[in-house]
Amino acid sequence: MKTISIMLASLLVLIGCSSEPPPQWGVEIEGEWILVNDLHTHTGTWDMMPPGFQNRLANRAPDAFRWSFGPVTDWLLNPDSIISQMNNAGIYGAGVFALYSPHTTGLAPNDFVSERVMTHPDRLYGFASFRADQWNLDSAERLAELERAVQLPGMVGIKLAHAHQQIRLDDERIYGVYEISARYGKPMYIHTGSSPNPGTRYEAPYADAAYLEDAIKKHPEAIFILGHTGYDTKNKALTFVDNAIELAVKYDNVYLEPGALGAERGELVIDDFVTRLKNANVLSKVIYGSDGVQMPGYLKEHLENYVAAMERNGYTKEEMRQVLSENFIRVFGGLGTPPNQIAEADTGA
Amino acid sequence: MKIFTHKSYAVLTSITALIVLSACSGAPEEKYQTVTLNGNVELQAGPVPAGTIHFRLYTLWFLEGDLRHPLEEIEDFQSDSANFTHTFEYPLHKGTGFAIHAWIDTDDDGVFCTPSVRTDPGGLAWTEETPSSEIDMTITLTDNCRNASWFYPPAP
Repeated sequence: MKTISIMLASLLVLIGCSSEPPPQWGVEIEGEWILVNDLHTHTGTWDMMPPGFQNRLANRAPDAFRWSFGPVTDWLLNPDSIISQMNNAGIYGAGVFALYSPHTTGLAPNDFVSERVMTHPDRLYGFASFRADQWNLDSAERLAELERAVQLPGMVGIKLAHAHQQIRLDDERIYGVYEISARYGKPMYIHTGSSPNPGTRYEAPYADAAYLEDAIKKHPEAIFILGHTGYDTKNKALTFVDNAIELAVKYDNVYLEPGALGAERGELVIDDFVTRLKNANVLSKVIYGSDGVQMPGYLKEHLENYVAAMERNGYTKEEMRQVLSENFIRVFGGLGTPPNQIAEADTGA
Repeated sequence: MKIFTHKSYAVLTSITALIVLSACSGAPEEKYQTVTLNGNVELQAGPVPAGTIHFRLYTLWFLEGDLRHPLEEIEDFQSDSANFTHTFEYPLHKGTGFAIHAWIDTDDDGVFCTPSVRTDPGGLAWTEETPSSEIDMTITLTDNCRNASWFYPPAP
């Protein structure tokens, strides 16, 4: 029934329903509005996805509708659609990731992402990436390309997904990527934990952030944002979460992101997850992200579920503000601040 | 309301066209070749240490164009012996060539090295030929804690 609802919702939006920016950004907590930025969204096209990933997406639909997932996916991942979902959720700014994962989720090339985020440069922020599947042959070329890509319009960070790119987290061959991150001041989003996508490597050396510790120590000027905080989404378990949290406690240059914990798959572990973050006293290092856009309404649903979990588990408004926007704005040098709030800050309002 | 009707009509027309198109096309047919793999694991120097040997099989190259990539996984298996025979279904629709990665769990912790214990040796053997019904491979373990992509494609 849910998949049919998704299909109908997609059709309705295709027909012409679009959302305007809300009168107030963010979420309302006890009468106070808290700004929200979403670190983690995706763009792309159906044609640039490998067959295994296409099948996974298409299998969300009833048999009779599977044919439709190509055009629906292309529509869902275009920047206007992302902005529409953000408006619907009250989210002001969002990171949008380039991808070079031909084994798993496919390609969203750097120039493609730069062009897409520049359609809404005040609200979409690009993360460059690099191809690693033939690293012994072309690493110099790939690093040069990454260096070019981080300077493209709209690019604010770097995206890595070792488990998708078939690289161990302790593989020192890609330390050049971390050096570029430090040199250009572009924080890195690094996927940790598992993933339900076919072709993903699930073993600990690809999923457990503890394997990144040497790289973190050797690159103190680079910012490592541990995506999903080690959440083992394949098994719906917090398998690697404590090791990720420990790194954020131990190192100034390590941050955490809770992408996908607010999704339906995370409902049994989200309370434990937000409690572990609070008890570890690392909320000043947590940057909200969703791993959207996935399907119509996903950004809003993920945000509502995550906020509800924080409320259920005793987060203060100030703690929620840190997680939902303040840490993002601080790490990304003011990005994610709506113009009216900049004006208010300038006038001391 | 009129606009809604016109757009609905356009969408329904497009959907009908796509249904017709999708009925005329289909996913690539899955084809398999049963292969018997006769394998031997050796160390670059010295005797093979004790421990469960973990194997992962790959096609060497998969897909075309920008998505073309090396080392598409076929399956995993384990053996307690350095000389082994294993039968598997080679997916002819998932690429060409063949590679096999092996590592030995010398400390019996079930993990291919931890951040602090780096004693499990690994190696990769490959051939650009797509296997027929039987194939012989020798895997030489040369480096600790290295996965398949560390070995292939090799540096020039």
